[in-house]
Amino acid sequence: MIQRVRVRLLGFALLISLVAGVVASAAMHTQAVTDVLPIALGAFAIAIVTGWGVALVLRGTLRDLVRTTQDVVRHPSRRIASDERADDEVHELAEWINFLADDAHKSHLALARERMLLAAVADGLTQGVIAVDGEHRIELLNDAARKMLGVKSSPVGELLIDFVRVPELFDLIDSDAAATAEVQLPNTPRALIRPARKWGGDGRVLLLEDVTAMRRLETVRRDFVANVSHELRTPVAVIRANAETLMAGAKDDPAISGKLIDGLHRNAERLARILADLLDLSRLDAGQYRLELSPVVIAPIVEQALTALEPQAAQRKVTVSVAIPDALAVRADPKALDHILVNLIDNGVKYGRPDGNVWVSARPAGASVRIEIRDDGPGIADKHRARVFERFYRADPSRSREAGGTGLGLSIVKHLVESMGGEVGVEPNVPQGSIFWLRLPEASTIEATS
Amino acid sequence: MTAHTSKDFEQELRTLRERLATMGERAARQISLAMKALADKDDDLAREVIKNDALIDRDEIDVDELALQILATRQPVASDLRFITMALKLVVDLERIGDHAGGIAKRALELNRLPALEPRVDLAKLATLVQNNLQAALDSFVRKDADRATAVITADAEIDKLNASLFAELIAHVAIDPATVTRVLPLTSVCRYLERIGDHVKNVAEDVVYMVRATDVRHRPIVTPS
Repeated sequence: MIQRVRVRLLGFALLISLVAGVVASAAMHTQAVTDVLPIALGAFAIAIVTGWGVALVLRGTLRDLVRTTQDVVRHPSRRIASDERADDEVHELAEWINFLADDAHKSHLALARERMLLAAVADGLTQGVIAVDGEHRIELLNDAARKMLGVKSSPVGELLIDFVRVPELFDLIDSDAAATAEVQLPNTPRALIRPARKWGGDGRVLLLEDVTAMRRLETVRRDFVANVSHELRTPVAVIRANAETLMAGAKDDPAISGKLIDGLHRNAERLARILADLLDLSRLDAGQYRLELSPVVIAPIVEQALTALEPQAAQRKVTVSVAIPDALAVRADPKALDHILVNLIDNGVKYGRPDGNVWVSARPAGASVRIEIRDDGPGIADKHRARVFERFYRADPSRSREAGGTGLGLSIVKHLVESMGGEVGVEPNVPQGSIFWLRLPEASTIEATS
Repeated sequence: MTAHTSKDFEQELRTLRERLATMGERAARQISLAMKALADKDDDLAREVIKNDALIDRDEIDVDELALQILATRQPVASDLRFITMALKLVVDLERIGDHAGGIAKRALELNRLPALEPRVDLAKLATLVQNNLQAALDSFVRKDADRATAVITADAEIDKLNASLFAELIAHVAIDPATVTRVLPLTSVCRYLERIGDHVKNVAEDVVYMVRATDVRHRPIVTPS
């Protein structure tokens, strides 16, 4: 309303100054200068005063508009209130400012939605995503990247170097080449860093991929192929050499032929053992190995295993001590459990020291039972410990072959335990030796005896 | 024009800071790989560490060149000047840390051929202390955190103490069985390398304090600001 009055006043003042100006100039043309001068000066004075008044009014109106516009900018939900009846330019300007504010508000909401969508998509990725601007400030660091780099906060807008110091990462940000780097990150042993296609801005987007498991599997597969051919080749070579020697005439020499035939038999047996183990493993892999899970009391199964292993223990003078509560039972397949225990105790006897000790114990641990086979032998080096359950993996190849292992025993044990819903592992014994442990679901004794 | 020039200068300082921090990280990685090569008796890894030292040497040359270029073209003053002079000193310490890691890898190659010393002398704890201190020093550098740097300087005393006790433990082996000397000597070298790395880390921390507070804390007791 005030604005409308002011604008009307403005029009009126302009009209007056215009009339005064016209009167002054008309007078100058018709009268002598001396007569006209006072009238002209008076008219100019009126024009100046009204002009000044007009400027003041306009300034006030614009200042009001600036103030209300600032308010709109500061509070996106506010708008300039305007008088509906007024239809002058100030009203129109206010309308356009309101329109701009609406438009900016909508764009702002759309942008925020877009950002949230981008962050949600990026956080859902298993790959890490790092986006930095031209000054290496973080624009986006998704959950996976934060986890791999060990960054706890969400540092958008901060310098990347304040959180990450991996040299290869910075080399790739600066380089234009489509290179990649495979490096260790704070929380990822092996990660592949790959720059994404440039999108036209100054910054860079890098993708991080955790390849630890993949590289491990590659190593396992490579070693498996190398090991399996080695394991099969050795007995085949002995069999062939012995057979050839026999055919070349040794069969007629009883002193040598006996030894050679013995070698043939031993290595054929060895091949048969490896093939039987491989067959078991492939059956386990394919899920064809039928396990009948039932409550099994542990103590008798251990006794049975010890009876089978008595000759080996006596030969190496290894003392096997057992500490298992009589009634403790697990849910397992009795035959599989026997196989597992024979294998683990046999390993303890074979690879422990002569005149050494093997301890077999079991105790409840939560809803499961932990069975431990502990020895005081030379133990297993850290780097081998994680891999002893792999097929044909040998911590000490010469010793284990000499001891008659096929290299598949622990691998079968792991499969069997996991098929029965359990876990198996190995840790160092203090002061020396190893502890092989397995955890199987506990079964109630009443169930077991019934 | 002035704004543009200053933006370029800003960019050069940022690059220098990044180069130093990543060089420090590379040196820290070298220490951990060298210790792993020693623990796992892994010759390949030890050779990789020795080979990677060239990367740290290249970093040193890059940082030196960049710092000198900034000095010559921008003529920095006050905190910028302190930062550049610190960079020139820091780079020397980081390069020496890399050399010592290479030294550990060389000793690992010698020790890997010999049977392990029984009972084992555990150098891992000393290595972990040194590495944690290096990481803390690098953190204090990138975050311009003088308090953190002061803590690093103080922690060096613990490293020296542990080094002395490990050294005595190793010498005791020789006293009991002189035949172990071939295994003990390289291990004492490893101890010495770790202790030297600790000293360089302390230098880095002292430089950080100078950069942030403009006070020289070298060769004097640490006074923590209350």
